[in-house]
Amino acid sequence: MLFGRKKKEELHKGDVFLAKGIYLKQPTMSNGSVLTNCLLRSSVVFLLSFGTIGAFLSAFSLSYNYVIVIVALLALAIFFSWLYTLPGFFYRDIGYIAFFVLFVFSIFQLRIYANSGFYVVVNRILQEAQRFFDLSGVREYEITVDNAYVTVAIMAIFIGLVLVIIENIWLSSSSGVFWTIITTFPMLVVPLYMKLMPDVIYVIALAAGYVATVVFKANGHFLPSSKGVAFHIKGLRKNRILYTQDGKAFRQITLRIFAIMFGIVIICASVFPKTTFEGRFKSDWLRENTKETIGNFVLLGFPGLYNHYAATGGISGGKLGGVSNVRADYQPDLLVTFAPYTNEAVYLKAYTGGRYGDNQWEDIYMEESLLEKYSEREIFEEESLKAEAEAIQSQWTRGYHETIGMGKMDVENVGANIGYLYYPYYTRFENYSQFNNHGMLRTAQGLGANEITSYYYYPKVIWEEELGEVAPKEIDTSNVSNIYLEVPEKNQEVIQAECDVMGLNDSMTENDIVETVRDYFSDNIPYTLKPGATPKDEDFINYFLTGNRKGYCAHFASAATLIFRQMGIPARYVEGYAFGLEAVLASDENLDEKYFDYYHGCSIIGESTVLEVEVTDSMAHAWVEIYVQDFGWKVVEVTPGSNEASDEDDFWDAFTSFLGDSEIGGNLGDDNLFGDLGLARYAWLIYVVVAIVALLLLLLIGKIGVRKVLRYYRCHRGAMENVVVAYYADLCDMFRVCNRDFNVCRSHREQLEYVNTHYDMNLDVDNMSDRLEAISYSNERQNEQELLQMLKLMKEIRKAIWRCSGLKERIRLCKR
Amino acid sequence: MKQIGNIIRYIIIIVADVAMMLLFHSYLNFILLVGLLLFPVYSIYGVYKVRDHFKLQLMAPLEPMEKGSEFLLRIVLHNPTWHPLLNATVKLEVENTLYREDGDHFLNLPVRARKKTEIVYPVVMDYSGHFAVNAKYICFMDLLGICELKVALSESADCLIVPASPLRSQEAGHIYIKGVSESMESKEKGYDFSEINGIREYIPGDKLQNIHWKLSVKKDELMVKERVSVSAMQLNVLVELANNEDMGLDTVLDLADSITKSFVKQNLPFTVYYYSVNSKELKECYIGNEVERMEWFSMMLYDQCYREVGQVEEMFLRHNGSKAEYLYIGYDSGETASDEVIYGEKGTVAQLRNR
Repeated sequence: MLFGRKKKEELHKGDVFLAKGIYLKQPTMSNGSVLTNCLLRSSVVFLLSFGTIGAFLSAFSLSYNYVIVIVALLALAIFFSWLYTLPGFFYRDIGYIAFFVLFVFSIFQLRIYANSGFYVVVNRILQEAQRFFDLSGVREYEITVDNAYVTVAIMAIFIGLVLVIIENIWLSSSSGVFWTIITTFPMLVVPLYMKLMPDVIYVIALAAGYVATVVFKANGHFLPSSKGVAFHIKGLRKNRILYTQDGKAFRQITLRIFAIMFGIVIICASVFPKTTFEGRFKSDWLRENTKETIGNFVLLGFPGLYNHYAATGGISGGKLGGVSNVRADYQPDLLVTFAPYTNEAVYLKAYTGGRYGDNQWEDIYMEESLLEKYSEREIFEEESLKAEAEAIQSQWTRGYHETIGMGKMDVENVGANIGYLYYPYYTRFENYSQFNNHGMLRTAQGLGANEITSYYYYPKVIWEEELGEVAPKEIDTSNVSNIYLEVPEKNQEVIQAECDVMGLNDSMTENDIVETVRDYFSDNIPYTLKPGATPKDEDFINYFLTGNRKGYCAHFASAATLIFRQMGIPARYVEGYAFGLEAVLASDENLDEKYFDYYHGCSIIGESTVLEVEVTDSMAHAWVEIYVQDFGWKVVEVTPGSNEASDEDDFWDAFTSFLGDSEIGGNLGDDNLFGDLGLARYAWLIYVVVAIVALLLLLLIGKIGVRKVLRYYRCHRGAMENVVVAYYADLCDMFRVCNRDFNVCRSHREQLEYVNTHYDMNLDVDNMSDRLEAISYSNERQNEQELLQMLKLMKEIRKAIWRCSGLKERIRLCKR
Repeated sequence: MKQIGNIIRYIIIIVADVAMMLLFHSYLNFILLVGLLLFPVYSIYGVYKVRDHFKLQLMAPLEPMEKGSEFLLRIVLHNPTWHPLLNATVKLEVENTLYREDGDHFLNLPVRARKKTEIVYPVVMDYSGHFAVNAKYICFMDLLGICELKVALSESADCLIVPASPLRSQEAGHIYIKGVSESMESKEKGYDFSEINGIREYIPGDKLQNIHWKLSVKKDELMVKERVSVSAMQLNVLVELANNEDMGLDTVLDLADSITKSFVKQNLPFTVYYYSVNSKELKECYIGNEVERMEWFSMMLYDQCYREVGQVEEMFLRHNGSKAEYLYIGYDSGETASDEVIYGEKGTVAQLRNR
């Protein structure tokens, strides 16, 4: 009898049981080829990805080569859609890996184009942001390849590729339409916020894509059968015969959706245009409340949300260490009208630091030892170099014009800190008593907002060679406060060590020392706007010199000040603005003013014209003043030139830097993993690959782990009967994982016979199936001993499964 | 439930779109909103149109099919409208009426616009009988999965499934001789108890010895002599249509088919009796050729089986007491009324009985 049943089961293996003695073989339907089905499913993916990318780019009025993008995205969509028709995960994974290799290769080859395209887009976004947020200036990235029509298209393909992969996964899995929206729509938030409307065709594509996704998700049939069958069987009783996918119906529906959306968009655009729509809104809550914050964010990035270092006009007031990076907002702080006379930087002094301690330069107006002796006016006279200015003025009056000049400079405060004055070197103030130049004092007399002050100054254009040619010990410091020679105790060791490293000694002249320090910094310590914040409990200067060894102007000026002091040269830390020839050349001419109304005397560049220079906060600077024998205080520049601007223009280099490649920082040592093989610049790619693989592995392991925990709970918690049922269900799952033929077994009896046949077991099928049925379906309590025995038996079966499984099956069992 | 889930999801999408529209004053979201609001109208309109105009056809083979062989049932859904749908679900009831064994299942299929969707159902029946399939109803789901319309159907198709048993000519002939009391004709004419009644065209399956060769040459097509039995003592064959748990009736039918086919092949006329559950009476059929035999067999397959074994014998004896000798095709009762027996599978026999 058993033999007869087995024979019949073999005969109808894979058939659908319709009624006793009536079986259905695999039904068929002309539902289109695999390629047709792929093409249709991928058309939805294409509509979504191309719609999103196109809508984004068109909103910013960026034109690109549509043909390349359409062909590439469609091909990619078909390819990834086709991967889901392959039998099993294995081939799909291989397909993904193969594509990934190709992707890495192509992105390498097209790196420059993609980069340029990316920057074209970023620059356009920034331009639009500048217009929308009414920003006076934004930074633009350097574009290597000028052909934006192609580069933007290449960039669009790479971004679109990511969308295609994600959308294809969502459309081919049980994930809902929400994921599709979440992965596409956020890209459009930026243009929508700036009230930019995409082109109609992309709106149609996007709308059709969303509706098509809703339709396919609501109805199912979005995944083709990997076995190429037209129908599959579902339901507990295996009595639901569902078609897998029908290319013909899909095509008809996709076309109708597209046509309907096309009609709706055209009708909307003609009957209720954008202007009418926008006119309906009386207030704009979102933009009114967020414009300033988002504007800051656009200019400064995330630091703009919390780091207002730059927004205060670039003057930190001697505060050091609390800022991890500096991002200028590129907005003008000062408007300077003057006649240029030199190709060197012009310094506008604002703040003077005296004693150093607790990661800040203490204001000289707060210095008790000075306040005891001098009034605020006298301190300001000393700070603003009255004596030096008077000396030069005196020379000028005596007709000595060969090395000095007399100028007028109008400085308007359009965005700088109103607590300070911003005056050029060797300014002769008319009334020193009205200033103290200290932003923190309540009596502060700085340059108010939009206030214009004219300064008359006597620049020393050419310095006498003998100045500074004395050893520090020979300097007469009787007129100099001791605080300018103080090195805090906790810095002395580090500073002395640094002096030793630099090779500074007492026999060197002031000029030699300055030159040595400047060269050392330039050669050994890189300039960066992103040095990172000084760790808590670390001293700013010590950490800069011994730990971090990179920094911006405040780092160099602070360290140099203490080094000079250590060597016996009176020195002080100064903050203000410095603008060079580049800013001068980029400025506007003021044709209403005459040159000689603004400058007389020595000029390196000859007679020029009156200019209006926009001094932005990116020109905020810190430098050192040293005391020079026989003259007084003069500016010393120790901050090395920055290559960062050009370096940062390359996104990938910035990215490499972010990942820790210290090539930018100039710290590429011998311990580099890739040595001198020239591979170091590709190291970031390895990191990305490793990170992605690690992330995927983690996700996979996490997913498996969660499943295993849940399974463990199901098989070990609750009533004994439930445990047995759960355990048996788990076993069935293992059988299915090992061999899908197990699905044809419909009853406990058939399943147990399957076990006997395939796993070399000798189970008492009748007895065990009866007991299992009783446990599964009866409401009566079962004998505990029997249940335990059943569990034991099932554990034996589990062992047998592992024993009889090959490597491939075992991997599948582990993965489940 | 599925519709409720889809409706909730759709409403969430609309709400999210409205929120974005109000937040960003976004014209794009306004257009999407119009689309999202209008599309359900189209979707629901489409499903109503399809419901009003569709046509479902079930088509089974007209010729009887042999059991165990695959035959094709065709399910065709015509949609003359311009509206395609992705989900139409037909409830199909499949039955072997002879055994009263039935089952239902659901077939899900797409509805193509202005086209027909044809599904080919390859069916196999393990037992002889009458295969019938009925479409009970069809449910159309709109494109958004928010509106389902159910339409009752009365479409059906059927097909006869006949046994595919081998001839048992020798045993059948032997038992026929035994069963017929007038044995004198047999010596001269062999087993031929018939005379020519008429001439007709050749039907595949006719015996070669019945071909009227002279007439065939004249007419240029094969003609055969139609014979009728001259014997007043034809063999009575009783077929038991009782079924048991092992589906023994199928073996009885196999045996009956095998033996009666052999009789016809050898021009041995017989009268067959079976009890009809449908008409609640004993049916009597005279069988002289293959056409008559197939007619009888079909009638029998259209009928229904019963439980009690011996019903046909009892009815036969009650109505035809004089016909003492008969061939019983049914289940082996263990009583040996005659030593002339042909054994079938599962305890079935064809046995000469004399009461």
